[in-house]
Amino acid sequence: MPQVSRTAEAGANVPAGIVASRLDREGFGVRFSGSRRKLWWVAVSILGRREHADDVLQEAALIALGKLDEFDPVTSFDAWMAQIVRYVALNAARKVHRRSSHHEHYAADTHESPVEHESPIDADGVLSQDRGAFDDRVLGALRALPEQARVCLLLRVLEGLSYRDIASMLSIPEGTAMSHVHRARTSMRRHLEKGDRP
Amino acid sequence: MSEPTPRDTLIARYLDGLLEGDELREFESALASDASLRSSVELDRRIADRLDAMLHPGAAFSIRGNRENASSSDSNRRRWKLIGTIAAALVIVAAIGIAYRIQVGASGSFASATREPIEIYRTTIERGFEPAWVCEDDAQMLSYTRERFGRGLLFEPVPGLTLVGWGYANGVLSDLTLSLLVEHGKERILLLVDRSRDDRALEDPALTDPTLHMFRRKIGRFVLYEVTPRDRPLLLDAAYTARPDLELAPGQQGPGIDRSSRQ
Repeated sequence: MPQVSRTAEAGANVPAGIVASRLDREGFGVRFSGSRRKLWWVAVSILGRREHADDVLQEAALIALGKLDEFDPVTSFDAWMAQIVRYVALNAARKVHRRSSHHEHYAADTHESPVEHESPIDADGVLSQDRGAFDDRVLGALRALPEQARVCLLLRVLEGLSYRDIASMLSIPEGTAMSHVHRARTSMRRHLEKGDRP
Repeated sequence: MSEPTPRDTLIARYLDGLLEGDELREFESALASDASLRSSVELDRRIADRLDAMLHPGAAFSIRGNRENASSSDSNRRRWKLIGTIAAALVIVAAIGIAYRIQVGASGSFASATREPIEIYRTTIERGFEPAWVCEDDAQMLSYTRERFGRGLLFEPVPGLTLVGWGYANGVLSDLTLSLLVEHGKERILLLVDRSRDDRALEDPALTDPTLHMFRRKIGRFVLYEVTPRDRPLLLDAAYTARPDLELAPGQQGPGIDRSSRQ
């Protein structure tokens, strides 16, 4: 009787015929490094910014290392890690929000600006007069999207993942992932168009 | 999120690289004639471009080494000791990251299917060498390229050369790639323009069509590919990036290449 790999059927990126074994730390490192870019976008989509995303990934890696026994190798490693990253990122976002609220309160007394702006000077030393305002609106439109739509959008548009991979990672149907991306693009464009009106 | 109209869905599918055949041809033809549609597509691309610029891992994807942790607290040391087992793997990340960026395009930002220059050239010829967007003068050229790429790109006049207009070439280097349609007598030349950070090894059109040649030039933040039936480039040397503070009135010609700064 031919050996059938449940792992391959479950889409865990293990070739058919290879029986899945429990992840050890070394194996985790290899799998994690292969998934790190995708997980980065999950973190960024929840944080809404690039800052702290690296910290979130490191903390998520530590948590995952402590829970290696809980990982079922017949399931998707990306999906498992994405859940942990999401959890850590949500906590981090709450902390940032609390710190930001405190800082705003403090700034109100000291006239210190609590808002961090991206430098208006780009890598080529070019001063972009309107870029800051436009960027703020782009980020505002992104943050206004539902969380899952944000993740799908970033994974597809900025990371170039296939809908199949996005669906596997987020444990949603491919069609839902595609719908999220298309709706999110439309929603952001309308948001920006609305802002362009005098 | 509001409900997308059929037009919204079409735009999203186009930008997603999901339109093919007649559907793609019809959409690109509509783009050429419908300024509102063009504007929506441009805005969508600009949004993606800025998201990429603001959120891309980039330098933040670096690995924090031991030097940084040397003075950290004991708890931090324990934390890093624990994560030490994956440190080696994280080093691999950098290599994978670099390799990935090279493989999918430096920014990794485009989701469209990859297209080669020969495909763009043939399609443009088949469609009658019609541009989607025409810049009437250097002021418009400056404004258009500056808005799209963050830096203005201009061309010195070349005798016998006519800049017909711009076409879309998304998928060649990124979803921002543009093609500048140029005529030299009966010869038709295509200049592919994109940000140099999105550059990749393009397939030489001569492999498919021996009558075509391709020449490359990197200039500032731009990378330019001239696809031409001629055995030498005509337009590459005429391109120059505009000073950041350059403003041009309608009809005003650009300052030209600053040859004093050239060795």
